[in-house]
Amino acid sequence: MVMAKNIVDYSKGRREYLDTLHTQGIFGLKPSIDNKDQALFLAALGCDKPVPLSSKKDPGGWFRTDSVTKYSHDVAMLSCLLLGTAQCDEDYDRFSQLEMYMDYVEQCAESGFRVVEAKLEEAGNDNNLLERLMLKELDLLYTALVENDL
Amino acid sequence: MPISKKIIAEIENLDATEREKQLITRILELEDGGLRNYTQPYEREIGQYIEAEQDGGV
Amino acid sequence: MNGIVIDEIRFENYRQYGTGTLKFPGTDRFNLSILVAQNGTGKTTLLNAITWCLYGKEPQLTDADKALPVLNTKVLKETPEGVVLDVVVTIRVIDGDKIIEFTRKHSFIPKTSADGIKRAVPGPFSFTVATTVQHDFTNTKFDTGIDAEFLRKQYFHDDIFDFYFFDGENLKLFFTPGRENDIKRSIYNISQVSLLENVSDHVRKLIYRYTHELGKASPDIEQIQTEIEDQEAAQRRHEESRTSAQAAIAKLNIELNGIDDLLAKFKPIADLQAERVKLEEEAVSLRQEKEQLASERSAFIRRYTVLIKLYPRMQSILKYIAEKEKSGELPPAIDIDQVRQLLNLLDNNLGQPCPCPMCNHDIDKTGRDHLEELLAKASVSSKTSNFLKEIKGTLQAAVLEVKSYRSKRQDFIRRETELEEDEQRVAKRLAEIAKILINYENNNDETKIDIPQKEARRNIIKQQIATHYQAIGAANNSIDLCKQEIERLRAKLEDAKAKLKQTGKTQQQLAVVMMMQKYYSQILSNITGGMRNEIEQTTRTIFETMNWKTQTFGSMEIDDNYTVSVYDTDGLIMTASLSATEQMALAYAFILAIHNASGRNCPLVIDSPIGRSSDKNRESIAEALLKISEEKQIIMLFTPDDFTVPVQELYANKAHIRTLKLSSDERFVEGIDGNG
Repeated sequence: MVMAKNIVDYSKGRREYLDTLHTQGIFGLKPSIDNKDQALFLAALGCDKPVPLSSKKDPGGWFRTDSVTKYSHDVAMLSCLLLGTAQCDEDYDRFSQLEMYMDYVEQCAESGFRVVEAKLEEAGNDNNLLERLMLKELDLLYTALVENDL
Repeated sequence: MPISKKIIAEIENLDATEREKQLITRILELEDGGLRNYTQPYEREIGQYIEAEQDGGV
Repeated sequence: MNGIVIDEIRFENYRQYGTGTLKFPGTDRFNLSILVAQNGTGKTTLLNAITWCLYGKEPQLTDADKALPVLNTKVLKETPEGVVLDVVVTIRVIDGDKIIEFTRKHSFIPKTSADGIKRAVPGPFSFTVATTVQHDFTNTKFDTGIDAEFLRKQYFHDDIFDFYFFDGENLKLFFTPGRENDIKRSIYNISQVSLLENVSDHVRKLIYRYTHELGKASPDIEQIQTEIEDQEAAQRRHEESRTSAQAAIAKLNIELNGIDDLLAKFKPIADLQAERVKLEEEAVSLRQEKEQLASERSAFIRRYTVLIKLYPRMQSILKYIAEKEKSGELPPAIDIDQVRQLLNLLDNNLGQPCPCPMCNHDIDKTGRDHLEELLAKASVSSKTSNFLKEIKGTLQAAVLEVKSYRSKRQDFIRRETELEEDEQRVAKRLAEIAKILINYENNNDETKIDIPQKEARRNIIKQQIATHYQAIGAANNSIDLCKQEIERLRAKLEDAKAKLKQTGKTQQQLAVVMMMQKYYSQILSNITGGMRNEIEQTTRTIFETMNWKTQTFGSMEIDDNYTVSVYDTDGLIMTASLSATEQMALAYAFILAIHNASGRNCPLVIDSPIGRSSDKNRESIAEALLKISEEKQIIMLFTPDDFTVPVQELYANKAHIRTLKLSSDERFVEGIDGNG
């Protein structure tokens, strides 16, 4: 039986890193954007290679799971990260449980932080260049994942 | 010098109990009377407030 | 009428007022007292008497060292050496049911020095305040020393005395650049905002003290509190640097507006200047649009990163849902969990029949086979099925949204391109205009304006303003970070305190002072928030009643530093273009607005209230002051020349008017009660 999960965590040091991203306005991130939306973005960035959190976490956590379960839109978007990898019926049964998909969100977001670090370095810490590069990447991804799927 | 009407009106509009409002006003009066360098009068007022709250008096 | 009034001023041996009493009775409707006296009689001395009594100084004297002593010269001459003489001025003020007398006394000893001149050697002095409740004269409270000074400050604070007792001739200097901080501080003092700030500060110190005391029992609390204090100190530093930058910008803008006005009025280049001002406004608007577009672009990137990257997963889930719907498993027609439970029950009953929960009949072998068939068909639990049903709508909408990526992307590209082109166009034209002006040769003998020099200075100012704005941006970021950190630390502190099992007196005291701080912050925020707007509107209203012009003045603005700006009907700033009398009217309007906003109704004592100008504004101002005296005591000091016939007619039977003149030996003012 999976333990109840009230808080979505991040590794120690990630809160401080997020603060610096806010200060620099990287990808337009700022404190006024809901934590769960920031997490979704980072998780999407890192969903190709989820990474376990470090054993030490930032105390207080990132956000509460009950802030997600209120809204079906949030549930849908956050759960589809894991649910979209299901291969069989049993997977769907397991992956639709909150504890399972929220753990996965944590791991994808952890990977997402690393993706941001790498991209930011590539763009020389210039958010304008970073976003232009990201748009180019999205153009290519759109062709590969969406247009070629149609 | 009486506390200005504006400030009194603001105190009245606070979402606070009567006793809290009295304490707020009294401390302002003490400050206005020039006792800002002395904490004992403030602590006396705060102490009286706490006692009154504990006694549960009106 | 409500308000604080000066009832009388009593003199003893004070300058040319000698020993006597000046009363200010007012009339039924108006509380207006007028004293008419030639220059040199004692008008300005009366103003000095008030400030000497209250503050121990006479600011209207140009050079105190070279002025006559406060001791009346005739009394000095006639008093034998060694006899102590007191100079006393008492101001009697009525505030509701209280009578307050402010008395300054300075003793002097006449002594003839080596040069044969008899001088007044100063001795001890004192300042006392006597407070009596009307109808209870047996119980007068006397305050001296520091206590008296504090009481005096409650009524007539040192920082704001020139908002109450002033020379009308000096009003036009009211808005000299650099006075803004004085004005803001003065407003805060008058309206007791300073009092609230002081109380908040005091309460904050108590909070620190109690928390530190608690912290001694728990080192974590101590440390967290120290971190909070450090962050708050850092935040204050950033706020101060932000305020400095704002003040610097305000000052630079005044100079910039001055240069722009000058250039606008110089006919040969007026059109170019007008074009430039329009282009600069357009540049600001384009910059704002660019920022908005950048923000939208970031949001677009974040949204579409999620949609595009998750697209394959969403499609996979939707495909799965479609299959389940096709096979009839979605929505779930039966509760699979319940079916499983029933089968388990049948197994545990070792073949014995169990009742069906729906119809209560025993489930036989056929029933059991049917249950197993249902289970085989339903591959996911009802809970999962319901879950999939719930998320289906969102996923479908998201998949649809992905498809609009290309068109939205194109839209961004188009908008960015258009903005870029507009910015380049504006920048190019601005550069052209700047080049023309920087190389301009002014062959006009009359004006002698050095256009290139003005242009160069303008560029420097613009750069400096831009630098200050950057500093403000950086300060704002730092302030936001400090606030975030403080919030986080406070939450941490609350957790630490909750863990602490101490429930002693300090905890209670701390809870109380925190409650107080919350309320004081709220009151302070409400009062300062509304105050500036209130002062702006009241200033505008009063200024309009004091002006005879109706087509010239457009709007008025008072910024966060309480700098007043007046604009004409075309929106051009014109504060510096006001005539001397208009500036005086503006200053009056501002002063009265401040009095109004302060919540205190203190009197005004004005020497030369309507100046020497002869334009129509004089009469408007005189009328406006009369109207104001219905609500507030005004004491005015006129020369006979200023007290023209129209003004006399206006004030006849409405004001208490008396004439003062000097005695034949010019040592005493005549016209006050009991003088000699």
